[in-house]
Amino acid sequence: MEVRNLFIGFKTYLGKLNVLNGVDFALRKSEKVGIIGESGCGKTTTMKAILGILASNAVIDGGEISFQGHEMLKIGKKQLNQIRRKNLTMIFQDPTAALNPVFKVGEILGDVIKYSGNFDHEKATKKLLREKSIDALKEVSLPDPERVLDSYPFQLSGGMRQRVCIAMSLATAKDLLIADEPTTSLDVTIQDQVLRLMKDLVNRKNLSIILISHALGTIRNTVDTVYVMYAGNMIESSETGKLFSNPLHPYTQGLLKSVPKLTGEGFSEGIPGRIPDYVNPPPGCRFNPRCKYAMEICRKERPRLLEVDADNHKVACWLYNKR
Amino acid sequence: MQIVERIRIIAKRYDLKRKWFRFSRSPLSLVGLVVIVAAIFLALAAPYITPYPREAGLQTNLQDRFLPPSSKYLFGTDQLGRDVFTRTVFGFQYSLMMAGVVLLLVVPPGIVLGLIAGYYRGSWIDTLVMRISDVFIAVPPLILALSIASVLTPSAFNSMMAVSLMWWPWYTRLTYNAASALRNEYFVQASEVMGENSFRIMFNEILPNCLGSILTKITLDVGWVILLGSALSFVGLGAQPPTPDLGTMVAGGSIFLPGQWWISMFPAVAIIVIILGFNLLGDGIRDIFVEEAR
Amino acid sequence: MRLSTFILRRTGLIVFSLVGLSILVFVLARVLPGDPARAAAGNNAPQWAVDQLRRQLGLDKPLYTQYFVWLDNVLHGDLGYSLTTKRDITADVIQYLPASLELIVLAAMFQIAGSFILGIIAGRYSYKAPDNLVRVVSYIGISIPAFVLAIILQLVFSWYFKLFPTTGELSAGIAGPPAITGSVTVDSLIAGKFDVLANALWHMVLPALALCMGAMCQDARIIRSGMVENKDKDYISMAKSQGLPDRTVTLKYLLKPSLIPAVTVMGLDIAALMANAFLVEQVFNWPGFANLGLTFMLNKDLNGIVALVLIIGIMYAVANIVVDVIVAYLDPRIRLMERGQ
Repeated sequence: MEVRNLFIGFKTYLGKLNVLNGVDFALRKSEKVGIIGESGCGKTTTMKAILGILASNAVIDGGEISFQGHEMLKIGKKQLNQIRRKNLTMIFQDPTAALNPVFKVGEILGDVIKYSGNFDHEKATKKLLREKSIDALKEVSLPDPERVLDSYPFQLSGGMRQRVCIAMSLATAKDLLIADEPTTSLDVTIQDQVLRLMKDLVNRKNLSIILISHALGTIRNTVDTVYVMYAGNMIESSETGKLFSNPLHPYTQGLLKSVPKLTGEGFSEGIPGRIPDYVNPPPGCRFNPRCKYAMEICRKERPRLLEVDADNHKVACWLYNKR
Repeated sequence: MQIVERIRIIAKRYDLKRKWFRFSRSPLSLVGLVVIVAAIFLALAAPYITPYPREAGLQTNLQDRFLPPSSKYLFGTDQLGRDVFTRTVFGFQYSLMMAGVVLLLVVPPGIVLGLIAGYYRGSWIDTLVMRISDVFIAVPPLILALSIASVLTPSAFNSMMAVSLMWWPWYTRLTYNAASALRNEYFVQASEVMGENSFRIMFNEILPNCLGSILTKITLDVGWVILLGSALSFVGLGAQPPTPDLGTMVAGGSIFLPGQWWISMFPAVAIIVIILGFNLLGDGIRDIFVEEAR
Repeated sequence: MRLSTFILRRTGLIVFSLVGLSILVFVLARVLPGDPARAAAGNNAPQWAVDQLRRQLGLDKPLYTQYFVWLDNVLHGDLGYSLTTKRDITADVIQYLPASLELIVLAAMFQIAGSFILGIIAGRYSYKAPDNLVRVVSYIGISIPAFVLAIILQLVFSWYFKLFPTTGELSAGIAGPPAITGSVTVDSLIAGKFDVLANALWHMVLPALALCMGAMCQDARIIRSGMVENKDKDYISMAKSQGLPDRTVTLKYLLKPSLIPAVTVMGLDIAALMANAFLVEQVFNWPGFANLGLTFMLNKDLNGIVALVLIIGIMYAVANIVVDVIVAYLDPRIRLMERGQ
């Protein structure tokens, strides 16, 4: 998958929010990629753009997304649905919001399997669908799958709901799983369980995965490549270990310094300033108002995400991309 | 200058400038505002701007009966030769006055009761007030109005009384819901801890936060009260002829359909216009407060 | 609390309200200035006739006695005697109520079908042309009182365009079916006289429309806004992201949650239909119960008025129970309300 120079905005009462400011992103088959960023930086928007499920007030101002050779922003409805059924799937941040509250879990799961394109709709009898649904629930280690199928979402616990969502996404074979902060809304004790379940499934089914999180620890333990996102741009990307040991972008450096350490070195001062106003974002590099290294060019032109040294470490910063 | 200062302070406190800005962005709301302002103007100026003001009352003009609309009689004349245009404009006056009286009678007590019930939530006051309100609310409005009006002697005044009697619980319930939700907010508790008098808390802390929904409801209610009032007059339980009530006029003219259609039609359209105006205005007001809440 | 308890409480409240209302009407009528016996007998009747009437009506007994006498009668099926129609009100009800009921039922069907169609179209194409059209139309529809609409419909479609009949249940010269239920449509259906049925339905179109237009537009707006609000919800995005076909997403997963607020007001809608009957039946000369009720009201026929309130109350309570059941079916959260959910 490749996202090239993606610009997306949202039309609101207050004006147009220019959220995505030229996102560059790439992913190879079987690769595990993580995206770190604060709330509101555009991680979810990028993912929704890939799947074509942006809100109705969204405007695509430019850029391309290609996945397995398809131009995702240009293909027709039919093809898009095919890809959603066979190749691509997403797990949402809040499992409670992701499940329709007035339908039983079995109904939703049954429909997902029924329309997954793996068999003719006529041959998909209720019995067959139910069997497959139970199998899917077993795969995510849900006890008593029959009862879960006959329950409404509000009757299940948070962890169970997320497992149900995972089951739905992976009930049929897929190539890429996008997980948008899958454990953020869960209890801490459950978070670990669900995360482990996901890792296990990803490995077993040989899936590619994009994991979004703002928990640095989770990212570190799970993925091979990390992207750092800030205010609508990918500002750094590299191998996980490299990023944590040698952050290049001033934002990444500030971010990593802000994490309190068990060795008790005290707290950092954080990064001064606030995330930009998307209605009137700063020109050039959107981090420039907060950056202590800001130069003249930072205020004029946006730096692109370019490779810095040989081992695939990319940064979008004028400190490194010499003109 | 004191007044100007006062207004400025209030405008700031309630963020009126921003609210106006939002309100003015919606063309429909502006249309509503224009219509209502025009209606109020007509109502107030009725005796001065209509060509035949005395025909709104007892004067008849029998030699000019049943004349179709013309330049002399804009909306034609009715069965007693009276100018329909004049009477329609006076009808505006009458409808707005009736709505004003009813709401004036109903809103303050309704709100006060709701505030008290909401503030003392869970106590016997709450139960008493809300159970009584529930009883009124459980009955369909028009039925209730008809029932009450039917046992009274039909008159304009009595129909106003009937509508007022059944209308107050809606404000009580509205305020109650808002007040009981806000009652446990920190800012209320802070005032209590400081020893603030209960009534002052209710009026200075809780009430301003309910204003949005109350204002919306009042605006929309004007439309409803006019609708109800004209319905009562139409069936004969409200204002009696020769009072120029729009409902009475529609009823009076209905026997002459379709031939002398103007006698019924113009008052009928006037009813639609005025209700539509208040609906648009009310929705506009609701929208500016909803944005606040988000 | 369980569903049955919930329904029972609601019904209880309505019954209680109606008892209260009947008491209110009862009391008001006898307490306010004006002598009901005199009003019923007429201004020219001699005093002894008025007194006799007063005794006959039981108006000389204390108030609470009167009330309990009435209540007792009602529970035995006797609604009292009407001075206007000069016969038992129960007989009046049997004769006139079916005509109103068939009108209300047809209006309800129009309303549900109309609001669904308008609401779904507006929701599906939100902010585009079809939506804007629906919004404008429904806005105006809400602002037209039923009697105004009735007159306009009659004027335009009956007098001017001559598409529909002006008044009455059946056209002159068409014999009604043998009366079994008292409702012309049902009876002609039973008797197999389809031409009569067609004629009757043709007469019902305009009044039914006048009855339901306000509520239909209101519900269409509610459905529309429900759909617009839910369209961007996560569970719809999820459904789309799984590749579910558009039609399934819209008509199944988007529609059901959006309907709930509309169905919740259905109880009020039925109340509106019943109330509007008072305004509309008169215009179309429809021989229904509301038309009769108006006569009661204008003639100060106290027995009639109180009986009227009672009947409407019972119908409203029944309708509310039905609506509550439907809502509970649609929204499982109400049905299975657990503590702490």
